[in-house]
Amino acid sequence: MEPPICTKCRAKPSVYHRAYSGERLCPDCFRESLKERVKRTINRFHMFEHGSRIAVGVSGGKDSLGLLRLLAEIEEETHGSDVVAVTIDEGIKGYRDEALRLVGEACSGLGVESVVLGFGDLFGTTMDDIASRERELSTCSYCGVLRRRALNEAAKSVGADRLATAHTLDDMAQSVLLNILRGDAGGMATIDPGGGSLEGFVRRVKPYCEVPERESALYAYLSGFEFQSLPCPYAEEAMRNDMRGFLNRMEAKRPGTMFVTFNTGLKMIPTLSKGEAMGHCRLCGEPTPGDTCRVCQLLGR
Amino acid sequence: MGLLKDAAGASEPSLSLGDGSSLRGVLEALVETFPGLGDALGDLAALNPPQSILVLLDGVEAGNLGGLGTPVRDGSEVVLVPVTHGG
Repeated sequence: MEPPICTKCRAKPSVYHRAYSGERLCPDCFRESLKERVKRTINRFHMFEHGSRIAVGVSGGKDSLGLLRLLAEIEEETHGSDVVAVTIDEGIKGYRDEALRLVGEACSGLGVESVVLGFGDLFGTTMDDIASRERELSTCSYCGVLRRRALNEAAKSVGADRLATAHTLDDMAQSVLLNILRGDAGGMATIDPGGGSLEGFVRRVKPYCEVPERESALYAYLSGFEFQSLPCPYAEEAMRNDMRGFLNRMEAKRPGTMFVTFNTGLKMIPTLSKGEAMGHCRLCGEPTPGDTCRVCQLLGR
Repeated sequence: MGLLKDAAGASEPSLSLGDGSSLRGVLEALVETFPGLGDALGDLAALNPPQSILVLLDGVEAGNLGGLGTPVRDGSEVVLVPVTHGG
């Protein structure tokens, strides 16, 4: 069976059918369209300013390595901003080793500065330690909170004024549904991909938020870069996995479901409170709406 | 590729299939040969193409052809790229 001709260049055979838009794209047009999508997202949510120093959170997975490549390309073309990779070593033996190698190789190839910050250095503990302890919460609950803090610290340490993470459209749509099902109205406010300015926090932006995860995987494959092959040994996000399965089934039946879900979540943000007034944690001094921050609570300080 | 390679324990396995085999037949034969792939590939009957992996036949994604019903020719290359893996 021969594939149809690319609907964009009308010259080369297509390799991918974008069911939600009807496009059939050849490798070059697919990669170009993804770059244009990321540029549009950056403009839509006013993510960067001329001269921004962008710390990109790079884990070694396909999404973050893809985002790093695209941002490095875009910023080189526009001479707009600096890009620096920040990687968090959670202290998971055997898992992070492969990722750190891949990030190092990618940064060398792209000529991008990179920094690694470890949970051990920052918190005096590792995910291996936390996972081996008796605890009420899942490992992902600890890792998520500590990683967010660590990324912020890493971004501050390189003098960045933006912290870009590679949350995909799938992640965003899942978060919208999770917030609804958990009744977490405040959580919905945090899906804003343009982030917000809050004292003590480097502004977080999500330039990949309109890129479906399937397209991130295809971009990695067509670009020929190696990405992490090992799954996290502690992954146990049961409810997010349910949302992922549901949304995947809906997307297959009704293409465009993920975009609709994400955009509906965005429309709900202005009607919600943007959160409580921030103070400072009495134990570590980091910004928090309460008396002590979530990091200190989880680490039992 | 990726965790699928680890689940299979081989990166480029060769399969012998009967005439007129489809992409679905290739995936079913893979799961039969490498049972560790079953969880990673998910329910092949439920989604066409499966959402948890990209299935490429000679460099073309299955959804751009006839889905998993696309016939596979002798000497064809099938590539499986994991989609759900974190960022």
